[in-house]
Amino acid sequence: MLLTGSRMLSEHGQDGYLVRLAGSVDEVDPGEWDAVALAAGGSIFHSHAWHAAFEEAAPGSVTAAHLLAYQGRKLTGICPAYLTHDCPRLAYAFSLGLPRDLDIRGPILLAHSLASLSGGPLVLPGHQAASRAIDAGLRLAAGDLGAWCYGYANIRPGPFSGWLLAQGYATAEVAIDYVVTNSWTTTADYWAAMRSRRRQSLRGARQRSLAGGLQVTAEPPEPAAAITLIHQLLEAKGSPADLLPARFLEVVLRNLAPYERSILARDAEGTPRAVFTGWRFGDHQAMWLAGLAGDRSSPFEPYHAMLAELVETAIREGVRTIDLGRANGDIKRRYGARSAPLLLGLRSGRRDLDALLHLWCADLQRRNYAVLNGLETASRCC
Amino acid sequence: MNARTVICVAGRRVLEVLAGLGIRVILLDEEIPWDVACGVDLPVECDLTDWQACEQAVRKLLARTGTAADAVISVRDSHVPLAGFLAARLGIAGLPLHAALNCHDKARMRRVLDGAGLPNAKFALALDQKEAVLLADAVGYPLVLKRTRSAGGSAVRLCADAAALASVAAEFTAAGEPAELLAEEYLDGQEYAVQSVTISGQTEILSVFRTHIGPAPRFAEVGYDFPCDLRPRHYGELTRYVERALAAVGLDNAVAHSQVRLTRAGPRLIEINPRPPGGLLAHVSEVVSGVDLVRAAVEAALGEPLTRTAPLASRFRYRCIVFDRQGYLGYDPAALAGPQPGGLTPIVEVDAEPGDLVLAVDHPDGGVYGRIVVFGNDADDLGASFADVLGKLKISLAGQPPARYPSLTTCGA
Repeated sequence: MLLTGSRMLSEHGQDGYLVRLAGSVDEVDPGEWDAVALAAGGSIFHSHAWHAAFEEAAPGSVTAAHLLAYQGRKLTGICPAYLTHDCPRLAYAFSLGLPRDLDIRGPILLAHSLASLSGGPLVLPGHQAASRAIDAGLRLAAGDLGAWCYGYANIRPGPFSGWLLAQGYATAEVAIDYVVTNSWTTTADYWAAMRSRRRQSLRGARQRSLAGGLQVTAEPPEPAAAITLIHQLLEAKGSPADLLPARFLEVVLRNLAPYERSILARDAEGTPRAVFTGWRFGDHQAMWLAGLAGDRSSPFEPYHAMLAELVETAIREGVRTIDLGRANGDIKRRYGARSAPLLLGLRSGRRDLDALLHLWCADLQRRNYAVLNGLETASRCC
Repeated sequence: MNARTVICVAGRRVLEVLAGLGIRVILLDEEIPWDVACGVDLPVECDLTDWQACEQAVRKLLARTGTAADAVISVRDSHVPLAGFLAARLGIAGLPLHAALNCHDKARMRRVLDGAGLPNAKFALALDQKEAVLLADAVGYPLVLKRTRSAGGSAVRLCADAAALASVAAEFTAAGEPAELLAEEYLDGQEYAVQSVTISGQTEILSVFRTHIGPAPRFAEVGYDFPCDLRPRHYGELTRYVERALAAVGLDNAVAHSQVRLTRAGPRLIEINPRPPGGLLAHVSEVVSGVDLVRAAVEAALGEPLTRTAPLASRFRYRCIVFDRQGYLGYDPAALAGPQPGGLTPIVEVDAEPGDLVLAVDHPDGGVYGRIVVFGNDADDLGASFADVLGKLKISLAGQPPARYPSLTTCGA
């Protein structure tokens, strides 16, 4: 389904904000879009470039339906959203077990995707009420676009998620992200702040990798090599490649090249063995995906050396937060990361259906906790 | 006019109230004793943890009997969300499900308060023991550690330092099951219990009690006073805050028993219970407010006007029987007296037999062993009445068990 171009979604008078529905991120000047995203503390996953890539080659089948809040002619809030007909991650979540009677028919209007590490609206400082206007716009857009439910993917706990709970959204913590808040001036400060036994242990692990001939550098990987490594890790984890199709990765790596802050590990022969694919946007650096050669090296052989390099590089560049992505919490915590739940919030507008969404979300969250506690396994990594 | 029908999830006293109102009752519970089953119109036994099975059982029953239900209620903490679910699925009156969940899960409640911009305790969450020991970084010491989904004081502990936090976190996660742990900043201040009813979005405060809290680490509630003796300005501040908090969590067509502390920075919510208070609190609230909270819960769910009577007293003193050390209990059973309908005679209840071993109030397994309540209209009379009851009860605590009990050594235990 294609939207027929942008239009004013509602004369939503709430605090004087007007909300517009945009059928493509191209309808907004990249500088104007990114200025809002940066001022609101957004990461690469809210950038114009990311959504240009997502619109071009997202996994599954989605149609852009972004919500934009204006005060007068000034863009005050952005909420990237997609009418989602098919999403591999969402399909997996549904496959875990839906309540009886929860009949899923048609698309979901989602802001914006389980593939990224953050979602939901971003508004300029001092324009918090624009988030509520956007939410009202999302509801109206869902009705107009024939979505059976609407909501937010991978939002962080905070006032907005609390407000969603009060509005009756069914919510679940669907994954845990690991984030390092950089409070160090130098890399020496970072290591000095660590308990000595841990410091010795982590430095030892790094040294062993480097002594084995591994070369770890902050450099953009060659896209084809990076995609191969990412898919090899997916395969090793038993996750299907349709989560991250090659075409999607190619477009993302191409579009986001100006922001690239990847970490590459090569073996003694110079062959890429592992990659952390990531970008810096404002004060925020996000390591989105990991890739690892499927042969020879043990699963975490290059991991410590790469994490150490990543954190040191980010500290040297004065990055405020370093998002280390999902999974491997035990190791990431040793480098100073703290867990940050990623929430899915959904609502249908129908009381009986919302009750089933609450039930489904409770089960989804229970499964997420069970996976974190080693009581269940997930077949979708990254 | 057809009799109204209410689906009641568990509960006992509420059944009497429903019967008294001439309301047909469908009782849903795990196990229903025959005497209880005989007292309700349609008993349904089912697994209350399987919400969809409950829905299916109720739908079948309604279809088979040609009954149309008007509302679903529960006055038990653990089943309030199920009542909200059934109400939503059946399309009948009841507490909104999201409101039930927002009250039931302490972390959700904190997030909702933040979302509403209401003053709130600093808090942080952990999903396992390793994360739990880092919670103080966000909250600071002293902090209170809780499990997010459990009622009562058994899963609430004060942690003064890192060693205490590590120890309590280990205790709370010892079962090996996933447990979400919530750390909240310790709120220093006088606690109040606020009873209210909300109908169509309008909240009425029915009573405010001054709460006495026992020692750390459990903070058991050990007494209540009415009136609460708050200055009008503070009373207004406290009750307005509670009204806003109830609106924020989405509570409607329900009663609530909220616990709030008045800190130096203003009121801060401890928790909201979307049901009448337990034990004697509902009774004493009725005595001083003229509103039976259990009946009010039914009437609010049905959207009917509240039944009101004139308050019987303007004061009460309610004290729990607790001990500062463990020992063997002694008292005069002749002094015991239950609540009298419409009466203002003192209430004296003891939950243990003479000679039983009782634990200190700050013991993890200790707690409250009974309660004494006196009513009146004059503060001095209240004090005298309380002293009189206490004298007659002759509570004592012995270091050794009475002679009629064999010692543990004799039993070979």
